Amino acid sequence: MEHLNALKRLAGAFFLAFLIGLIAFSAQDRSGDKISRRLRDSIAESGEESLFTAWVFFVDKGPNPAQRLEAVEASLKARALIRRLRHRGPENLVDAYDVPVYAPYVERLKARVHRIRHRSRWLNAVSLEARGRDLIELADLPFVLRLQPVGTSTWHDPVSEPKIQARKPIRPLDEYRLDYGDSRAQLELMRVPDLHEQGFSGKGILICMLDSGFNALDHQALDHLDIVATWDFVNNDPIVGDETGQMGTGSHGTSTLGALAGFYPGELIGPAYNASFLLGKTENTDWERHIEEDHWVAGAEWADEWGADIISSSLGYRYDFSHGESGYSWEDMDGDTAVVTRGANIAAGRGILIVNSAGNEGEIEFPLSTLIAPADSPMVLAAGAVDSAGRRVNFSSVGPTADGRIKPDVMAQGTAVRSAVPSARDAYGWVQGTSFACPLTAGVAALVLEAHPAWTNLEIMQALKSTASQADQPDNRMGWGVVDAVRAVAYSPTAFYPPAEFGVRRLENNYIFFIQYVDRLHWQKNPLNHGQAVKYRIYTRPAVERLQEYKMLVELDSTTFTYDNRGLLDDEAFTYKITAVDAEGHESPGAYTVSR
Amino acid sequence: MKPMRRVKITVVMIILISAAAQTGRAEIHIGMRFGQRSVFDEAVRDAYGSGFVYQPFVRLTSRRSPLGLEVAYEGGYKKSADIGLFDEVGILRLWGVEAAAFLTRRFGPVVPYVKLGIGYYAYSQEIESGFIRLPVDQKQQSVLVGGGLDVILAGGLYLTGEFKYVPLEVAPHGIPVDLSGYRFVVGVGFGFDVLPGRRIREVD
Repeated sequence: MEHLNALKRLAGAFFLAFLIGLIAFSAQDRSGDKISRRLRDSIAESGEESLFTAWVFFVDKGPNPAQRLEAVEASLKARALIRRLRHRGPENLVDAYDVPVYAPYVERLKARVHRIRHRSRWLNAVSLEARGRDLIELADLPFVLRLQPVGTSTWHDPVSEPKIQARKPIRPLDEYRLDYGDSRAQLELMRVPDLHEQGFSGKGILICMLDSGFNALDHQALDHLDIVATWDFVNNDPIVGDETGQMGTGSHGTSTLGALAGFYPGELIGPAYNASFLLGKTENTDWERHIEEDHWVAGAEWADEWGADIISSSLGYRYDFSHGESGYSWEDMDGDTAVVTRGANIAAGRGILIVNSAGNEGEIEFPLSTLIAPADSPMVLAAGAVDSAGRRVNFSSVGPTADGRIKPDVMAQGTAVRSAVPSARDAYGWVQGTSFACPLTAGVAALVLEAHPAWTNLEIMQALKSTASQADQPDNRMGWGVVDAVRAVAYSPTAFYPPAEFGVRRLENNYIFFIQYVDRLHWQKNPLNHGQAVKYRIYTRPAVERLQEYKMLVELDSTTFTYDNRGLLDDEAFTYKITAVDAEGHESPGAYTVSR
Repeated sequence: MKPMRRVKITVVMIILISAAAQTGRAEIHIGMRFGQRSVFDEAVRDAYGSGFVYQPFVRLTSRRSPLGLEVAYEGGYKKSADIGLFDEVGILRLWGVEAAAFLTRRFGPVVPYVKLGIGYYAYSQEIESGFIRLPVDQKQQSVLVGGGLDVILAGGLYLTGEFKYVPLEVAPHGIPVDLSGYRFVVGVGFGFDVLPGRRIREVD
């Protein structure tokens, strides 16, 4: 009997030891899981003593975040309140995204890290600099959800000099009230002077520009601007121009601002020269800029606080980063993965219209695209570059997104763009890149919003896309085409909208001896329709047969659906169109996507 | 000249020389072998796997020469599997006709041999789907190499076992598929003299 008891005790001790081991192993496993693979690999490669820039995401916003919503609502600036009322209604002014990061969590991190860079209430995270060893320890904290590297990238502007070609004016020089000087062609391409003639100039619209810095704000074409606020997110001070000993030079921002809102008749006029501005310096170098996404997210949150209507961002994060450890893969360019894209989506959900350059990476073999984040977001208007004749320039990045949506969205002039340069108060130059197509597009968006102040950001996007030069046959090189300001203002937003986020994925159907392909279509209910759509119709035609009529494939009553047209060969590409149909049989305009 | 073509020409030459060797005292064998064949291609192997084969054969040998000739048919491999994105039913069939020369030497009742030949192989894949646009029903030549052992029982009857390798890389629609594989087969054969009544390979 004594032996039996001893045996039982021994078995019990073994069981207990096993249980403790299991728990310890599980706990270790969980903390390991909190660190993303890319960050883990970086730490392993560079050593635990090296300094890393990382996001730390929290599990929650501390106790009773709902109680803090009232304080958040009370703290909204007047402009932010108005914009949110327009976009979200009085019942939904604020939500959990608006609740600040729980301060005690940040305080506990502070003691263990080199520096806290930014707090993001939208992402419920902080970006920080810390040694690898400390990051591994942070993963053990119970309120830490996940750690991942801050995405970085090198932004390239086109290196070749723009070829300046005198363009024959569309109208006689004295046709307009304003003398556009050399900036006339870039505005005429988008029919902006016609809106200026009607009195639109962006007045009352608050635009936030996120760029590498803004020198020479006393430039003769910029000194008229109403600059509401400035902030340098790299150096954490309000000075957005160059400062001795600090990172960043600001020529690029000066030129993007000049293209959008410069005003010096005879030399330069931007499309929205009467708009108000927030200037955020979010990057730290000049023509080849090393950029980090946490600055961008911080800038977008700042823009939201001030009540910005539009963000014009001539920045982006490529997937083929030189710093591979902190980069994203092409598959991440799906509109919902890159942190900067998620930030942009949240900003758009608050009613901010985000215009982002598509990128200057040219074309690459299908299906890989050369988009930059956050241009991959369905909520971001990605602007590509054309020349003054409306032809795509070869550096302009192409789509599709990784989930098959057409990008870029629209095009504007991005070569031989006339703008201000900061070398002197009266200095002007020719600049190029989608960096400049972006502010020109944002300027038109401001005019449309000025004309239709009740429109939401999505309605403005819809208006710009639906009225652009190739709206009936969009593709992944030029999207919906060159922006047409006059038609966009005349667009009727009360129309019935097509489904949102219409995309296609070409899937391999591998039969071993051969491969056929399947185009799998997907889309979402469009919130602008407020439940009106009861059915969806899908049409198709071969992508190369641009004159051929679309043939209806199917009518569905589900809000999402996968359509499989099996048996495609590799070289067959199709353009798909989808429309929404309401209960009375009214059909919306089409949304389009192409399978190659 | 491509190496494979050179090999095929060599094989044909050997077969012809073997045929020439059967000038007198010729003996005919008929038999049937059964067994398994493998497929090297990973995708085919994963989907369909190895399979059963049968090989009826006819041999011509001579008492005056260690060389012999064999003509055989290889069939029986017919397997189905769910393939593609939609798990559609695919049926793969592999078969072929072979001619080979073999070199043999008798050690009492045991007769080992090696053989080298050429084959005309066919493969087809049928898929139960309304969306298939590319047919897979092709034929291709290749060489074969193998060896085996006959064990003579009595009265011209013998057991036979064979190992054979056939390289067969195909690409009917540009995608290379390696249908090469080994065969492990056993069977029975019966040999008799070309002149009626004279049986060969009797147990000493």
